[in-house]
Amino acid sequence: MTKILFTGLLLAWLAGAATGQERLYDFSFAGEPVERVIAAIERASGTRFAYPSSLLARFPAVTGEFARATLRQVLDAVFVARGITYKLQGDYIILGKQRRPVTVSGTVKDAESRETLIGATVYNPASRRGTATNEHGFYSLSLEEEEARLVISFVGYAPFDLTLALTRDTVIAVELQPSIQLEEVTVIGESLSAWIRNVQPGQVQFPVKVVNNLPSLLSESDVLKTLQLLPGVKTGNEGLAGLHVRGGNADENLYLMDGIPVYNPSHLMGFFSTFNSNVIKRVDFYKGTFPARYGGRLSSVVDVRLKEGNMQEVHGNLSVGLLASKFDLEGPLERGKTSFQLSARRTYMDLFLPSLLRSVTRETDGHGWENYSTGRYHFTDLNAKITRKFRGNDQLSLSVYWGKDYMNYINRSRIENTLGPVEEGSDVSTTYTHLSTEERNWKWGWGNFITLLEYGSRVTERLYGRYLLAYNRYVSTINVKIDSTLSTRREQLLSNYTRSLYHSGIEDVIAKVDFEYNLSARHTARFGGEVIYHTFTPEVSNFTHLSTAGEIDTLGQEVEMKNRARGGELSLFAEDEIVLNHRTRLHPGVRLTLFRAVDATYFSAEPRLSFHYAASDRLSLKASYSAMSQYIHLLAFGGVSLPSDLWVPVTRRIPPMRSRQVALGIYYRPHPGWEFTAETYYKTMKKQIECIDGATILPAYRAWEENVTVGEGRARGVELQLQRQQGRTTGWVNYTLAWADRRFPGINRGKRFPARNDSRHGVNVVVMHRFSEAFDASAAWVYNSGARATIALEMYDMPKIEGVNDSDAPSSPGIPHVEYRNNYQLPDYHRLDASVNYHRQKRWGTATWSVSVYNLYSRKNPFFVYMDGEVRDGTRKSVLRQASLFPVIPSFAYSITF
Amino acid sequence: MNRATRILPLLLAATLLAGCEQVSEYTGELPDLKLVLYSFVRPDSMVRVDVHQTRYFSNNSSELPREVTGEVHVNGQLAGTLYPTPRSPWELAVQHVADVYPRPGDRVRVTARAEGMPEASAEVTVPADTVPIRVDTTLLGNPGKLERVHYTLHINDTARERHYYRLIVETETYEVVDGERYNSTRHYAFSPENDPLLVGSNNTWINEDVVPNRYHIFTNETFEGTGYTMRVSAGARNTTRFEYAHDGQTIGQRNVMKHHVTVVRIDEDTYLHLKSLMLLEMGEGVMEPVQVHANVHGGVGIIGYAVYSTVTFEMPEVHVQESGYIN
Repeated sequence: MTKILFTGLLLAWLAGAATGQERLYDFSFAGEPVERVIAAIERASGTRFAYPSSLLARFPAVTGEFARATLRQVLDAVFVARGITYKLQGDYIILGKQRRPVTVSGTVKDAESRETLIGATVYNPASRRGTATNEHGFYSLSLEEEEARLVISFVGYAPFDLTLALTRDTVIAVELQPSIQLEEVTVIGESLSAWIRNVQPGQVQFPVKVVNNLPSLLSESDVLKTLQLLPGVKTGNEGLAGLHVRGGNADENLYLMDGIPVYNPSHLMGFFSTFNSNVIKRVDFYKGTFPARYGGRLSSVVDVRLKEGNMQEVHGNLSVGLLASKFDLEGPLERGKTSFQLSARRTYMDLFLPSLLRSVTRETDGHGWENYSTGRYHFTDLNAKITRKFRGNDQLSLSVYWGKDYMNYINRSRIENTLGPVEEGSDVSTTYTHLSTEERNWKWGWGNFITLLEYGSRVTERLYGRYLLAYNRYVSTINVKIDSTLSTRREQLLSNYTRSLYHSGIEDVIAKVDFEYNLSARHTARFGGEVIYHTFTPEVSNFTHLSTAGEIDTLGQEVEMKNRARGGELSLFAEDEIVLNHRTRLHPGVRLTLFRAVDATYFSAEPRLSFHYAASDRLSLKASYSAMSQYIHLLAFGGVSLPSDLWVPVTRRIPPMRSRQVALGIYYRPHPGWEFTAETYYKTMKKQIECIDGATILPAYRAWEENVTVGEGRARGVELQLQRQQGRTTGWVNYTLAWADRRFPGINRGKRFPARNDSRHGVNVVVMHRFSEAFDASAAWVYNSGARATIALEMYDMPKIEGVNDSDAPSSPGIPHVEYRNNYQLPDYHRLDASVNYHRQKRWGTATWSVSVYNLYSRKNPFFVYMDGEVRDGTRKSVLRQASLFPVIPSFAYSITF
Repeated sequence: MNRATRILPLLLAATLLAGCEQVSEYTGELPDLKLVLYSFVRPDSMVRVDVHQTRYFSNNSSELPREVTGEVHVNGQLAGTLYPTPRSPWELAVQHVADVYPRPGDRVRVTARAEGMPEASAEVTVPADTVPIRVDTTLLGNPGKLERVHYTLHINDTARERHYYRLIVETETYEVVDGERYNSTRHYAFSPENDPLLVGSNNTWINEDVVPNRYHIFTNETFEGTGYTMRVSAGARNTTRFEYAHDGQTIGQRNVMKHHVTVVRIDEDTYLHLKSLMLLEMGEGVMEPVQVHANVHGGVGIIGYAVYSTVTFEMPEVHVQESGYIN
């Protein structure tokens, strides 16, 4: 007999005052069987007990004294203390077994490659609770001790359904079978996996398959080009780098590659992105709600996770296109434990561009004068990763990314003069031949280098930790040489050599820890921090000039400039996903950042909050609030985002930028496979910087703060999207209505003006159709009402300024006058891209022919415009000159996958 | 080399393959033409305002505004009206003057209007003090060769605020023929001697044809509250002989007569205007025009101030021998 110790007297005394008028009972039990105890309570209270007979089968005898105790106190003491719960329902007391919380944890992987899956859903229909796997494929879900059914699903895979009896914390590793039969994806309340799933307002997740299936420029699929097809996302100028998300600037987007910032996410100024789609596992894009683990930029986060490599077999892909090729290889180094992933890309425009340019630009007069230009461009990038998995879901990975763009332009001129004969009778040679040559050689290179070591560890069934150490560098180098000579056939008379080398960049050393803690069935917390040591080199330059006359060298000038700045950044974050009930979730968080720059220290506390209410299985409502800070600026030139733009830290004079955004969203699934979303947002951006009138940010870093002014921006809009996620035909259509403006002291006399990316309407239509296993096609139509540009519509004559010689006065026809910044709306932008893919199954794999067309109807979208005068029909008129970049561009590629 | 000439060839390479240019007649709205006003108020000097107007790109040359009227207010009070002065055919603007002589510390507002154009106005406050400068000289060179005078300027700026300056070195020259002086001229060529404040914002780039800091503007950012010593030089003597063709005998010589070394204190608007003019001249507007700074409301141009501190050096006269060498 087990004695049950009671504190009934004390409880009765304490609760007596609290409960007031509740009926009180006196009981005395001395080793009574529970059935007698139940009968006594029933007689005294007039209630009836209901319970399964097996529930009290081994219940111990009851001993205890109750004096003036309430019914609840008696039931708590007799039953709850022994793991039996009760519920009062009218005259009935319903007994049940108290379920102890247990944790189910483990990893979800691809059954074929053993690659972990990020964002796979693990869901318990009975409790309507679920979770998603983290960056290492790990999940942890708290349930109650019972027989539980779990459904694990992920888009592109057949769902996995299992039922098990949970009596203690359990580790389950799940492997999902890939499936192209998307119709099998089952709608299960909140656990629907979709092509594009919105988890929080302004958050989008999509698998890389979407990226690879969309039409692409030069047959190179591109994750950034895919993002541009989403509502609220606009590009900069045609073909150039930069995303403008919800009215933000191009430098306000955080691009992460396995958690490390990428400072220049583009090759060839935006034609291709740094992210090789062959090695991407998953993309998370945030534009409205930002979990507290992200920070440092105002407008968006593009979080790209890369593959680890197939743990079982060697696979690869080789793709040869019109202007670029790539290959990737993955496989086990030790089956099931260690894998590698290697991928490389290179363009080869440099093979034919030099001769093409030379033939197009060559000029000669046939008498010794010749001038031509030539040039080349290529980019190369390499991704490499080794992953080692240990017991207990731990894994260690070492990865490297190296990318380099190289552009070269050479102009050569040659003049050969043959003079003579001289006067008769002279003893001087009758002819002189002088050869004058000049070569101007511009070389421009830029690129990222990232290396990181990451360790993920399951500390307990509820706690998972990630530890990361990384080095990140971005460099841009411009090298200009001008070499001129004057010589005869016998000797060199004169030479001038001028060289200018300019180098800018940014380096980071990063240490990060990140923990995910399954606190309980209702709380999943995430917390951690990072330290970044920045080294900014906005300008390191060297100028040399050397003249040689005969045999005498004269060093004309040598100048060197070095500008460096260092900064330290410490961030801590904490967030919690709270399940209030089966319909309502709350996700609060906070990020604290301390930034130490050259001459200033700044601190920010950034609260984040999102709210999710599932009105039904088909309809959910979401709301969010985010505060963000940004401590580094990208100094760009006149609206053109170029690789030589400078990353600079905040200073005492130029404070950090801050933004606040509120977003509301409605998400509705009218029918399985269809989803409709409507979001609205309002965003403010403070302490943005802008070049002041009359200033330009040259690579000269010195005094950059005097060339900018600090102001504010606003953005608001509505985004609607309808997407179809299943079936042979999938895709989406979206519409954006948006406004964005700016206000800066010293610009437009302090009055508000439209932002450069203030494009009122945007429409994207994307269709992907699978005709058969062998043949599929896709098309994307993009429309944006014209963005803004600053052009002069009138001009005035150059004034005479005292202190300048008339002969030195510039010969400019006049000064173009701009009424106000971004005064002109460019023509609307639209284009249609299409592609078809033909797959052939071979013994060893799949061969695919891809044909794509960029800008199918050759729309001449504006690259830039300017006003000019031209005589037409005998009258001089004001004309608009518009430069366009890309007419129709067809391309093809052949790839093999084995 | 400026950024435009660095980037344009690279962009050209990219656009050659696929780019194209479209030209269309502009049929959109055009802004109203505006008055262009330029005036640099000098303390205790008559107010002079150059007035002309903007034009559209369809006009090759500008017309002059009609029925121009205007006033000058000093410290909020009407001080005078603008009236035009005779204009030479080669001058683009009509200079208007007002019989107003602002004093240091005065707040001067210039307002002008013309037929069919909005009223244009701007205001400037003349500084209450001048900046003392002291100039030392050194004459360098060899007899018979081109000689230069090196000037060391000491600018004493003790104010704890940002000041803006220009440096002007003006050279007066004349010719001597048979002992008589003729053809007095003025020019502004001098060497900044690599002074970092005068050379320009970027001296590590190849810049072949354009003087980086044409207007020789600078600020007191590096010497605020203290002073600065600047070294420049100008040609002192030109021994070029020339012969009059009609007799083949007469020998003349061009001599430098005077150097006027002037430090002009200007306002911020004038500084930004000149800086943006230089950017425009250097072709910095790759894809968008350089927005030349202006402070005239309702119009274009600058109403600023210019406070001159000048030191004049008179060169000794030299005599030429038949050999052409200097005594």
